[in-house]
Amino acid sequence: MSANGDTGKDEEMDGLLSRSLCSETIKEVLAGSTDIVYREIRIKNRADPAMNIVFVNGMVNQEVLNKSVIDPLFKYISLSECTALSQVYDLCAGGAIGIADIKETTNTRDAVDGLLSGNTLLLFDKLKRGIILNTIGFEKRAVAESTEEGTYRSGKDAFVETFRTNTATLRKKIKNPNLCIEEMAAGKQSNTRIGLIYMKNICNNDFVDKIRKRIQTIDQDRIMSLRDLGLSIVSEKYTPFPVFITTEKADTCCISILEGKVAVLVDEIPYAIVLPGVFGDMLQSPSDYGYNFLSSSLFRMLQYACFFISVVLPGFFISITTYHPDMIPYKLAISIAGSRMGTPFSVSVETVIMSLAFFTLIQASIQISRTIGGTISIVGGLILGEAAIQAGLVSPAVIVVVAAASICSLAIPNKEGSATVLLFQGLCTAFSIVLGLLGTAFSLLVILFILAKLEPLGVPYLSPYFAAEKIHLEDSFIRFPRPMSKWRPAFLHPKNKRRMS
Amino acid sequence: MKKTAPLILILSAVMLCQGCSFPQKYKIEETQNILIFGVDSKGDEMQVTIVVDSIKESASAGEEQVTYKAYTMTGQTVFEISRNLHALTDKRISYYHLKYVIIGEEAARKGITECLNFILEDHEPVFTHRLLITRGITAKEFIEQASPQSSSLADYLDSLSNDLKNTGKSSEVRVIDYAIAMKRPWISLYIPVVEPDTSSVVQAGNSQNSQSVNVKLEGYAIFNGDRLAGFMDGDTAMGANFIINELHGACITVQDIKGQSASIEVIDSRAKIIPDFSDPLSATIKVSVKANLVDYNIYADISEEEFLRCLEQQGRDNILNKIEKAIVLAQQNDADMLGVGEAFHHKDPIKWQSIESGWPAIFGGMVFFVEVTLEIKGTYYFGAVEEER
Repeated sequence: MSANGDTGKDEEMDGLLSRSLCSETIKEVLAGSTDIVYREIRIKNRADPAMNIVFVNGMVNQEVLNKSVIDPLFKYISLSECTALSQVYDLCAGGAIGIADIKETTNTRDAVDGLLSGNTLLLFDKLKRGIILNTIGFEKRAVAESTEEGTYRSGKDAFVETFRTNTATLRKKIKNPNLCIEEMAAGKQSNTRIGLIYMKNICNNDFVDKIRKRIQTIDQDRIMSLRDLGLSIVSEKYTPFPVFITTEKADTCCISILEGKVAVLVDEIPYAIVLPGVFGDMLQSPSDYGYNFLSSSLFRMLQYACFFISVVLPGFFISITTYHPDMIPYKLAISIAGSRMGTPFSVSVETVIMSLAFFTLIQASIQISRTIGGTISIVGGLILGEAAIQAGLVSPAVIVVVAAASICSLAIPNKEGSATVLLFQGLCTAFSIVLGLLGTAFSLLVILFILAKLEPLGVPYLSPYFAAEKIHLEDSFIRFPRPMSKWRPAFLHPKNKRRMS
Repeated sequence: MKKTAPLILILSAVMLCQGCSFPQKYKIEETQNILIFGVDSKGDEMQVTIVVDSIKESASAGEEQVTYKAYTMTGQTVFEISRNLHALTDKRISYYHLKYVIIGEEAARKGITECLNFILEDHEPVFTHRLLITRGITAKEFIEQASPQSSSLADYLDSLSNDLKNTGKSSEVRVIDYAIAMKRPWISLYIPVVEPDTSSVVQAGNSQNSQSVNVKLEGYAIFNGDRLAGFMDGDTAMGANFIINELHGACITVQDIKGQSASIEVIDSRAKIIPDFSDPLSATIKVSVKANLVDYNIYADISEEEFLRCLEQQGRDNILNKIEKAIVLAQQNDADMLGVGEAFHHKDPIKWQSIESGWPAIFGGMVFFVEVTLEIKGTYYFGAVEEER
C-alpha cells in the first residue's frame, strides 16, 4: 500500500505520463498488460527503426490497420526517399497514411488515452512525437444484453465468449492506464487463457499475488467451469455460500474492480468471477446505483429482508402452527385453522411437499428451453396452486408461505446466492419440524456459524459488518449519498482508500 | 473435526435444554381456543364457565366459519374442572388465546386467590389476560346473558375496554396486576366491574349479530387482601383514575358563567402523591389536568377570560369532588388501591418498615390534601354567534 494512498492520485503514474512521448514511456505506463501490441517499422533503405506502431489488441480494426496504415508505410515511395526522420513524420502526418482522422501529439497522456480508446499510435521516438490514428474497431460478435442478471439504468452489455472482446469491453468502461490485464494459462491440456484484471493503483497486491499463485498451481487437465476455477483460487472449497461473484455483466465487474477487487476472465466463457466475494455482494445489484440513494437503500434492505424471510419463513410457519400456536394473533390463528380444515396432511408435510415441488419447478425451468418455459410456469402454477387447493391436498396458507419464501429467494440478485438460500431454507425447515422454534433458532445459528468462519482470500465474509478495522457502511445494507461515500471498502485494504478527494 | 465439534456441542446443548424430549405438537385446526374463563363459587364447590370458539370448514377460501359455545362445569378446584372440561369438547382446548377471566361477585367475596391460582400456575395461560368482576350476577349468568348470538363476547368486551380510554370510568387490569398485588400486601387490588345494562336493552330484531342484553363496563371492585370489599361506581372510579394515573380521557360537564351546561374533555392528567411521615401521617395528592373545551353554549363569548376561568374553577371542583369521593371510599374499606402505600415505601423504605404491618388501618385514618390544577388548552372557538341570527 502506498504511503500516499489516501490522496486519491497516483503520483507514480502521473510522473510517467508527464515524461516525453516515446515507445519506452508507453511500455512503462502500460507495463504488465499483454493486450498492447508494439510493432517497429523500418522504412526502406533505413537501418534504424523509424517509428513504432502501438495498439490495443482487440480494440482496433485489423483490416483498416493493415490496409490503411501498414501498407502505405511500406509502399509509399516518397517515404523511402526521405533523408531525415522529420521528413518521414511530415509525410505521415501530411497524408501518406490513409486514415482520415489523425491527430498529432507530443503529450504522453493524450497518446495513452487515445491508445486505450482503440486508436493506433504511430510513435517517432527520436522526435518525441506521435500520431494518433483512428482505427477503432472491435470484434463484431454481438455484445448482447445480460439474460441472467437484471439491469435498470445501468450498462446492459454482457460478456461474450471471446476473451479479447471481454477485455476490450472492460477497457472501454475503464479508460485508465492503471487497469491491468494480466494473462496466463491454466489447464495442463487445454492451456486455457485466463485474464487477471485489476487496478494497479487500487487493488491490494496480496490479492493479485494469491490469485496468480493459485492459478499457476492449478493441476487440472482443463478448466471445466468458472466455479472450478473460483474454487481452485479460494480456500473455502465446500461452502455453499458464493465466496466469489460470478457475473456476466461487464458493469458489475467494473464496479468491483474499481473497489479494489480482482476480476478473472476465462477464454470461451462469457462470465467473469470477481474475488474476494463477501456476504453483501450476494445481496447487491448494479441496478442499485441507478436509483436515488434513499430508494436504493430501501431496496438493499429489502434484499436482506428477502434473504432472511426466504430462509426462515417456512420453518417459522411450521414452528408456530405446530408447536407455538400461542404466538399467532387470534384472528390469524382462526384464519389459518379454518383454511386447514379437511386437509389430510400436517403443516410440516404440506410445506415440504410444496417446497420440493417449487424446487423441481425451478430445476425444470433451468433445464428446458425458453420456448416451453412458459408452459412449465402455467402447468406449475395451476397444479401447485389452484388444483392442489381445490383437491384439498394443501391449505391456502401453506401455499402463500411457500410462495412468499420462494419469491423472496428469487428476488436475491445473485443466482448462486439464491440457490444457497433454498438450501438453507430446507435446513431451517427440517430443524423446525423436529424442534419447533428452537430448531429455527438453531438453524440460524448454524448459518451464522458458517458465515463467520468464511474468509475468502483472508477477507472476513461478513465484512463490513464485522471487521477489525473501522466499519464503513457507506455501501452496505444502506447506500449513502454519493458525496458521503468517500472511502473504498476498508476490508479490501485498497492501496488508494479514497474514492474521491 | 475442529469445525464440526462446536456444531455437535451446540446441537447437544439445544437438545438437552429442552428437556431431552421433543416439543409437543399441536394441530392448529384441532384446537378450540378458550376466549373467556368465568369462575363462580357454588356452595363449597367452584363453577367454571368457558367460552370456546368452534371453527368449521370454510365454504370458500378465506372464509372461515367461527361459532362460539359456552360450557359450564363444577368441581372442587378450578384445575380439576379445567381438566374435566376437555371431555366436553370434541377438540383439544387451549388457553393460548384466552382474553378475559371473569370472576363472579360471590366467588370474589370468598377470595379470588382460589379462582386465579390455576391461571397463575398453569403453563398455557399468560399473565396478560384481563380480569373482570361481575356485579349482582354470577359469571355464568353474565356470559349467558351478554353473549351475542353469533359474534364473540370477547370481541364485545374488547370494544368496551377500548372505549374506557374515552370515558375514564374504569381501566384495564390484568392477571399480572393481581400477581403483583399478592406479592406486595399493602397494595389493594381493584378490578373493573361488568354487569348487564338493563337500562338500554337492544331489540334483537332480525339481525343475528345483535345481543339481547347490553353490557356496562365501568367502576371498580375494591379488594381487601384477596376478598371483595366493595364497589366503586363510574364517577368515583374516575376520581381514582386521576390519582393512579389511569385517566387517558374523560368528559366533565360543568355550568358556565351564565348557568349553561358545558363539557370539557380531559386530554392529559398527571398525579403525584407526596407522602409525609410526620405525625399524623398524611399525603398530598397533586393532580395536574389539561383539557379542551368541547361543548358549550354557542352564543357565549369565550374570548372573555372570566368565562374560561369560571369553567376551569368548576372543572377543578368537579374533579376534586370525584377524587375525594374515591379517597373516602377507599379509606372506608381500608383498601389502598390508590398507590399511597407505594409512595410511602419508595420515599423511605426504612421508616416504611415500622408502618407496613398495620398499613390498611393506617391508610383508613390518614389525612389527605388534594390539589387540582386544570388548564383549558383548546376551545375550538371560531368567534361568538350573535343571538339575533
